[in-house]
Order: sequence, then C-alpha cells, then structure tokens
Amino acid sequence: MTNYFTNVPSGDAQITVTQTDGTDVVLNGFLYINGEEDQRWTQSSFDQPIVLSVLSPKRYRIIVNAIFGTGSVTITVDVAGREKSTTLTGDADDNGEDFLDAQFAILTELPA
Amino acid sequence: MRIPFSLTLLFMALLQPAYANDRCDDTMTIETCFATLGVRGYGENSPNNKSLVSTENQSSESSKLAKTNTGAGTIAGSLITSALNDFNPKIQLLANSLNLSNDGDSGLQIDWNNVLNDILSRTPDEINSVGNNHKLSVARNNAWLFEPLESQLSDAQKSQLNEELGDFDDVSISFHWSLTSQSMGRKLGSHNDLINRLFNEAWTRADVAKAYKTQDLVDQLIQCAASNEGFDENKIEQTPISDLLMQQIEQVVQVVPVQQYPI
Repeated sequence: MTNYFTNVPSGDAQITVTQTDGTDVVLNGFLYINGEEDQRWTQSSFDQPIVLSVLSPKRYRIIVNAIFGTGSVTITVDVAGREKSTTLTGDADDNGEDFLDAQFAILTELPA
Repeated sequence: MRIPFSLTLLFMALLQPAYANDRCDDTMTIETCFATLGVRGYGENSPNNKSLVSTENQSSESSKLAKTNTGAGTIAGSLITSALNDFNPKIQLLANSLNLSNDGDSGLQIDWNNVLNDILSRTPDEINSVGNNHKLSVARNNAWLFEPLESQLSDAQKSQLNEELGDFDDVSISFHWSLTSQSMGRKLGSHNDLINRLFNEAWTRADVAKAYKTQDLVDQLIQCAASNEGFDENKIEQTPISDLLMQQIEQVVQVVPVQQYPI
C-alpha cells in the first residue's frame, strides 16, 4: 500500500529508517521521479535521514525495502509538515525472512 | 512474513533463467512488456502458477528454517552454550526459588549479552561485517555435596559439611564468544554486500522501471484529482471510483507503446 502525500508544495522531504529491538537490517531504496528512476540508496545512505528536494509540479515515488530478522523496522517520510510511516514487526527468529516494502508517493501541487 | 508481489517478481527474474532473459524493449507496449515479465494478469503464458509454486516452496523452506535455532546451546543436554541465538536480549535473568526444576535445585542466573559491544565493535560497518557476539553469564546454585563423596561419608560428616556450605559456594562465571562472518553463523548483516548486489541485479533485470511508469500513470491521475474539493489522500485505496479508474488505466496500458510514455 502506498502512502500518498498530495498537493505538496516545493520544499524538502525527509526519509528516516528506525529499528527497535532488532539485530541488523539490510536496506535498499529507490527514488522515481515522474515514473523514471532517479537514484538508488544503499545501506550507508540511511545512516542519516535522507533529505530530498521536492519541486512542483513533479511526482516522486519513494520505495524503501528492508530485510531483517528480528525487531521492528519503521520507514517514515516527513514532508510539508506531514508525517507518514510504514512499520513491520518481524517474528522472533533471526533468519532474515522479514521483508518490509514501504512505498510513498509525493504528488506536488499543480500550477493553478 | 510478508513477501510483496514486487519481490516475487524480482526474484523470479533472478532465479529463473528463462525469465531472466525476458526483457522489455522500447518497441513493446506496456501490456506486452508485462506479459513478457510474467506480471500477474498479463498474457496467456504468464508464469503465475510457477511463481505461486515457487512462493509455496519458499514458504515451506522458510518455515523449516524459522524452527531451526542457531548455536551450540540447541544441542540437548549440552553444557556448551552459544553467545549467538536467534534472539539475544541484553540481559536475561533466571530465578528459580521454588525448586520447580527437575533436579530440585534452586538458583539464580544472570546473562549479559554483548556487554562489551562498544569495545569489540567500534563502527556500524564492523558490526555488520563481523559479529562479535558474546555473553557474560553468572550463575548461583544451591551448594550440595558431591554425590559420590556424600555416599562415602558418615551422617555426622555429611551434616557437618552441609552446615559449612554457604550461599555462594556454588557460583559459576562463564564467558561465551561467538564470531560471525560471511562464512560462519547466520548474521544477516555479514551478507549485506551480497544482498545488495543481488537486490540491485534483480531490480535491474526485472526492468521494474516499466512497472513504475505505469504506476506513475495512476499517480498522475491522483495528482490531478487531488485539487478537487473533498479529496482525501488517506482514502485513495478505498475510493469507489478506483475500479473505473483502473479500467481507464488498463485501456491506456493496452494501447500506449512504451516509447511514447511518459506523457
């Protein structure tokens, strides 16, 4: 399920990954702008919150995939003062079978 | 466990050579591209069934794997324990004061897992590449006379020795260290680079960009609809016009060549 942000003015969006009570997590991220792949994020990209410049009237689709074993992983996107997040809590074993596919769409406001 | 459809598609493309060779080119329509990639619902020869079988097998194997713990401590009766189990809480405390265990003993055990983490693992990279899992364990049990010795003593001698036994005459301190790397153990982070390479390769081979171009059609329509009064971005998934919207999108998908998109 996609978390939609609509009528978003130009500004910054922030992507944050948090994990609680878990061991380790492997992260991959993808950014599509107007349906075209713009960039990929790897593990180290998520060491700090990713700040993304959002320009109107574009469409941004953020995909963050997390593979992890235990604990709980949350992907949060904060844009224009609004915050949405997707969380998956893994099962108790640490075999790395838990997969979180978080998708966010930032649809900027169209010119009048 | 939640394996999304997109992941199934990606790994299908990676694991099945027949699919790995199927790629979209710019002369295809989006529909024929999806049929080539085996996207559910597109094309008569869509390998949906194969995908489902593969997912079921994967689920079965995952289930077996989930039940298999790691570490030497899983061996029944073993005195050797591992510092790396599937779930390592920071501190474990076991108190048995009601003599409920099989040997009728009572005692107290405290385990500290990865108590020296700051010293043994200095950076996040080191934590991910090589695991220094360790455990400091302190256990206090009620002290008893050694049974073979006890059987050789008189009642008076046993009574005297038992009286001399104090509360802390049976204390054991142990330290366990389990090194995990790419070739030892089951630490996910040790395989971070490999997983990233596989993931990126699968993503590229599956050519998911085509799928996201189609998704962008939906986003584009939503972007236009968002300016309407009463539009609620939190109810997009439940919107009653979604069926009609999807029909319109399907029509576009059927006729618009890949190279003519994005709009």
